[in-house]
Amino acid sequence: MANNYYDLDDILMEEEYVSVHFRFEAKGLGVLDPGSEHDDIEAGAVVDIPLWLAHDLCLRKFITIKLPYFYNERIRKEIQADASCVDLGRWCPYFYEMGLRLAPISPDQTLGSFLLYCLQRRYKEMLCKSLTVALTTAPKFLTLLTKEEIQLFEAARDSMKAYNKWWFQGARLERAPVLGRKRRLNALLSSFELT
Amino acid sequence: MFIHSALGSTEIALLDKSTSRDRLWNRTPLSSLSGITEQRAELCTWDRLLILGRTAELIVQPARNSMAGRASTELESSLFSGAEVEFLAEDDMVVIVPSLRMDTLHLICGDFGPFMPQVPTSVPLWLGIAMKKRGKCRLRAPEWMSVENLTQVLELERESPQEFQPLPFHYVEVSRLLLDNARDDLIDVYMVQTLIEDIRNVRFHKVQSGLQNLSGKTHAVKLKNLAAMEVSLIRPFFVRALEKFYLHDDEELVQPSQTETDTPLASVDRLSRRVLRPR
Repeated sequence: MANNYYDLDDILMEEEYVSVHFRFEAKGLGVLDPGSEHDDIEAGAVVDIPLWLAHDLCLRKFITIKLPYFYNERIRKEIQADASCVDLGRWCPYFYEMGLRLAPISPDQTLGSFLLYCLQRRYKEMLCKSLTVALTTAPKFLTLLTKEEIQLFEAARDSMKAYNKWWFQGARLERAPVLGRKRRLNALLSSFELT
Repeated sequence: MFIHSALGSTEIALLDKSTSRDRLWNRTPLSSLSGITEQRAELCTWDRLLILGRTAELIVQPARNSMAGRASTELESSLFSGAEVEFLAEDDMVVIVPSLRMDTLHLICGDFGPFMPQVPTSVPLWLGIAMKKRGKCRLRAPEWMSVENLTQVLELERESPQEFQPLPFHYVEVSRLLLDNARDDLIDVYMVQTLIEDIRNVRFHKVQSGLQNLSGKTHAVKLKNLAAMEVSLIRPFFVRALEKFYLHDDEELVQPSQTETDTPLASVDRLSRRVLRPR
């Protein structure tokens, strides 16, 4: 399932908690539930566990997944109203990745299409903003974006910045960094010789 | 790199440039493409890149290689910086009217000359500019850079919101270089400059509004007659966005019975864009 074993974002995303519903009694797993008084988890208990654990347990049919609150009906309505103003970054910086991971194992069939819809709506707004935004100041809506969207936004802004730099550049001669270093090395040496 | 001792220091610089240029082209063999597309994971990305750009060489460059040993941390995201696209544009041919007598230049990229005073000859732009800077020739503006032609192109660009007018692939860079280096050889400089700026703005707005109609079902976008600078400007964002859409548009994830649909206007637009016509 994991796309890239060493991907930091992937690891961080898997640390996010999801609440799950245990279908069977689990002996010795009481450590997972901070509120538990016994060593065991009873059948039917609802516990918050990290996504990486939930994913495997769910594949073995030990648990059923309850979707996190940011995929619920109310949020979906908000996104349908005006997707680009919704503060996804605050709820979960890995909104899309987590959704993608949860979609095949959760009982909710509409999650996948909801994510696609959300991405489409927000993408349009981002395209406009990222290419026209002032290049120096950090824009206010950057806080509304998820991690993935910020990367996308920065890619667009950087290419626009590079283009503007080329267009408005002054001197056309560039000094190779090697030259500067060599000279400094010489200066260091000569001062050493003097002393 | 080699130095031809018979030529003066001017020509050393020129030869130097042509060798490094040839190396850049050789570094991106087309044969490597087939090897890469065999890997399924990268298939979609490469497909999309190829359709987005017009010259394969410009696109099939796996890692960024900085040309002059330049530190490239800030521009990591775009494959080519403006200066590099400009470098490629300098290979376009331009007609010069030399004012000196010189034998044929044998360069790696071809033979140019012989140069006779007042006899027009065609050379690469970088050679023309280098000679112009030393006062050895006058540059002649290409035909598309006339005021009549540019006015016509601008009108057509404004009239058709979906199509791009055929302009040279490197029109932004070539016009920029000519306006910078050979202002006194051009006719109606200010008019030409304004017109090109207008065309650039109109086209870029068109690109932007066209890309807004992207949806999950889009696997490729046909953008005909797009210029090099425009491609390199939108590539980092656009490739990433398409990758995201590809991830989310999995058959298993998205059920066919979608309740949410796009606004009718956008979807009509999208359909007309998705048709891939043969050239």
